[in-house]
Amino acid sequence: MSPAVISRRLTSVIVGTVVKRKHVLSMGAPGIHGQGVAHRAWNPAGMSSFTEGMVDALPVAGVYAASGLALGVLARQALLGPVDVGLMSLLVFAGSTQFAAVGLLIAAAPALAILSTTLLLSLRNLTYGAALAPSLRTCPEWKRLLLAFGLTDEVFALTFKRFRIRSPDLVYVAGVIALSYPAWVLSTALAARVGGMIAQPEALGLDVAFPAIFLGLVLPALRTRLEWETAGLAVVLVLAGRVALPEGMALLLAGLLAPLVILRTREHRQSVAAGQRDSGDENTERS
Amino acid sequence: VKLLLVIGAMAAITFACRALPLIVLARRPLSAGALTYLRYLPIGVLAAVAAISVWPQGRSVDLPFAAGVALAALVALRTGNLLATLLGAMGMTALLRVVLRGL
Repeated sequence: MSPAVISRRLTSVIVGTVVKRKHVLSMGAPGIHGQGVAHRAWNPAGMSSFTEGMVDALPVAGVYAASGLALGVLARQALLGPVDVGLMSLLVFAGSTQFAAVGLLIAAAPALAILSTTLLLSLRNLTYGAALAPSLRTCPEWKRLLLAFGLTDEVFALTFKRFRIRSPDLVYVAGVIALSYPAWVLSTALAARVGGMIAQPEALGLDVAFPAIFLGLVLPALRTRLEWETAGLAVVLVLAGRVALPEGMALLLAGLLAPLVILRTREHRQSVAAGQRDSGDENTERS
Repeated sequence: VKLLLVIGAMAAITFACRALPLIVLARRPLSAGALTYLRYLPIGVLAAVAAISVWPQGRSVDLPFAAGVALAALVALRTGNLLATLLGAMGMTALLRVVLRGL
């Protein structure tokens, strides 16, 4: 891949998204499960899926690198060396889980507390796999397992976005993981070795990076009224639920319940409307 | 050794949660209702994740952070561009912090 091609793609990523969105919308039904999708590729720079994945993952990798530096510094307080932190990032590759685990290690919490927190925070990943599974039915199992290893929140969001507008493509996901995974592992290990490289992360606005990434991934994906309703209900449920429940559990329940409630409500609305139509027809026939 | 065991167990738990549905659900045919539900499921989960990152628990009101989030939402809706969303939000937050510190 020549630098010129990469620079063209970057330019298209930065300035051409509006055009891309219009094109995507004109392509018709979303293809998260590969149903009747028009598979024409919108790829002005002629890049491979893998490179596209890497380019799309650039913002995510940047945020991972910055958060990895923060985690590495935190890990030094827990007396973890660069090898320990690097190994944790290499094997676990889950930001929120690792931050929680390092926090618990600093507080000298027992192993059981760390593992139960890990489980609680990882439960939402069940929904990610469930959402992608129908699209990946034809993929070999080992490829699905490889994808599963790298399925963080952000990787999932990029994958979900991509699968909705194009056919399911694991090479693209491999490109996303190929950039974000090393960014995370190397930055955590480096920070654990060197220490505080970014003196005041908040002065650079790094604390707003994660919300911005999620808003940037979620909001453009909301196209129909039903999707907006699902997202809105999930937000209300998680914010209300975390008052009484651990945040990980509230998140899981909100994510599971919101689409269920919205889809049930739609079914109910449709059946009521059909009933009214039927009774209207009967009245017309009688009169 | 204990730390290595904890790290290994954390990795196993995380991987199991990620891999299990990809293995189990991909093997069996799903009903149309289940497929529709699974199509909306990511929107619910990602919106919930976004909500708790926008409103972190125990965080006091912070004007530059709120302005950064608002700009991120605006840019995301207008352009759908992830990089522009990220840079806009970070730039706005950092700029406001500099300005407010100078006042």
